[in-house]
Amino acid sequence: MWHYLGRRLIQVPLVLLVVSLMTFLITRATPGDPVQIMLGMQTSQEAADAMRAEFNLDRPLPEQYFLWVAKVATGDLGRSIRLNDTVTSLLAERFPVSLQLALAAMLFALAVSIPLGVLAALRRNTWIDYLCTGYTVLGFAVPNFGLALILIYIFSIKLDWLPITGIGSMEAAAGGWWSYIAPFIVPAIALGTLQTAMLTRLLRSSMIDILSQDYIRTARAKGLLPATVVIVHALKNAMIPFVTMATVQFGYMIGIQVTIEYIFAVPGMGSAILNAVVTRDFPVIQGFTLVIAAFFLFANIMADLLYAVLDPRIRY
Amino acid sequence: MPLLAVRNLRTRFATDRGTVRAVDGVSFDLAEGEVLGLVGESGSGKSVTALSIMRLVPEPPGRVTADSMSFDGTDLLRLTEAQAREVRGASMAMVFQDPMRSLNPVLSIGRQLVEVLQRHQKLGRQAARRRAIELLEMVGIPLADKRLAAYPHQFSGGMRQRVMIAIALSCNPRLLIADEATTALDVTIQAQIVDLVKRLTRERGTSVIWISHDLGVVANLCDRVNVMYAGRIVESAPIRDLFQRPSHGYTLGLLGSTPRIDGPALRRLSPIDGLPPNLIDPLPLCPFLPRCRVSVAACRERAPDRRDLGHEHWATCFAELGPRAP
Repeated sequence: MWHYLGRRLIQVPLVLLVVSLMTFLITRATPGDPVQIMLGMQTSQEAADAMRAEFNLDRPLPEQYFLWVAKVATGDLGRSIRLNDTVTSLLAERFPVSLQLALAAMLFALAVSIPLGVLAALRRNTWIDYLCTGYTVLGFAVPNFGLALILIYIFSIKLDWLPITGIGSMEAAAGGWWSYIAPFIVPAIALGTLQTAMLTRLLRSSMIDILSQDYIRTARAKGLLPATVVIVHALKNAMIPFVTMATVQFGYMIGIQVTIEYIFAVPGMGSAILNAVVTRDFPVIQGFTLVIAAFFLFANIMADLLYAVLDPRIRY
Repeated sequence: MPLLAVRNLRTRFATDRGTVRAVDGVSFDLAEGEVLGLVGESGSGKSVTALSIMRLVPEPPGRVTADSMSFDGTDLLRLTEAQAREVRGASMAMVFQDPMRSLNPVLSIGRQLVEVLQRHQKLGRQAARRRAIELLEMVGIPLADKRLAAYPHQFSGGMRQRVMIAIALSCNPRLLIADEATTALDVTIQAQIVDLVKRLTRERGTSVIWISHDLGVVANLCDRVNVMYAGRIVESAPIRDLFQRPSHGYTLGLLGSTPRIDGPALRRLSPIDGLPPNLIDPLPLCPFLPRCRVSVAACRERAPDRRDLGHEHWATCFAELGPRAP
């Protein structure tokens, strides 16, 4: 186990190195000059040159890359060209917000997909199953920004139950637990519905498979209560692929929040990275991408470890 | 009064192509302490008979009916599902074919034993654990207290089946149904498992229904045998009598396709030709007729009735076969 974990952790810097090179090349290959965008067309050549020199943009590309990697290795992600701030402190502001939103979305996905998946499998080919699968089809089909607008219309405008914005705001942090949680609800549903659909489908099909296994028949032959058969004997097995998938999806969620962040004015990673792309703020793009990639890798390693915890047959 | 009395058991399954008559009018008695063999090829209805008795046939698509099916004085078919759960695993238990697939891979052996004890005998955690260790020792698993935490994949096939037997016998059932319990095991292990079941059930006076397609195992273990074909019992006899004078064309075929250790070394096995019977639209005649080597004229006119041959031996066959040549 520890040996395996060690091997996986050694791979992390290698993967991140590849990611850093790709991001670097993509930013540099994109037309547009960050200095010109920052200073505008009317600026003097001297000012532009000074700024280029400050961010090493006057050096040859390989040198730029190695200078950056060398700094990253010491934990310094550089300064934003556009904003008067370091990339690290931007991350410290933005990452926790995105993490909370991803957690909220994942909690919603789990809370809905586990009962729905189990119910659909137990009532296979009945109207209950069709209702559950119908919901998952919608979850796949409706884009999250569309769903966000529908939810805002219903819960925030018509019913006026939930706020639209407020994630990461001072007022929300200062109020009670409800004022902290409330602004997360609608964005979390909008963001997590695709994962809900995916996970419901996965759990339904693995539960159907497992409920037809011989050991379920054995459990029933022992006279165990139906709840014990379903929850202890079937669900414990079905959780193996489910938890793996959910963990990987969670790692993925941190980087896909852009549209939701825009709609709900969330000060998260996605909106920051989009702004950075628009203004060609290279250090921010590179630093944020690296963190998103690292988080995804971390989630994948977690998924592998959880797999071993849940399935006694797996030993690394 | 017999422990189990089955009268005219019919189990059908609704499929897209029609109703499959998996069990089609089975009647038999099982006395206290008796070991009954249920023999026949795949699809002959042996397992479905067992599952029907255990009330484990999923309904729908299945449908189980019988004139009566009394076990220890209660009619099993009149039990509600909740009442059936009290019987299952407690006074009636079952061992299945493949112990790798019949044990839950993600639960420890101890957990799978303890849960039955807690369910039916209302034992506390510690008491159930102690009893579980005793049970594992009883079925011959060494270092039982250390093996409780182990998982099924850490056991060999034979050991897994011993665990299944421990689970089945944990609540001292009056009836044990073993469905092809040794089929998935090595021959040497098979003999050990058969001996184990024989010893443990004899000690406790447990009645056994031993389902197998292996007449050799059945001969070693059972008091009497019901031969099944196409969802019906076609011949029923005490074990010696069946081997001495098989009286149904199918039984004869079954014996002919079983190798004999004491027979001539180069005697050829004679397989039963043809396909298994159609269970959706059965012939109004003997279902074995298309494959039978000893059929007579009457076979093509009507279905045979049950013919009593004395010594508690009967068969549904027109052919007069006489004692079997050695």
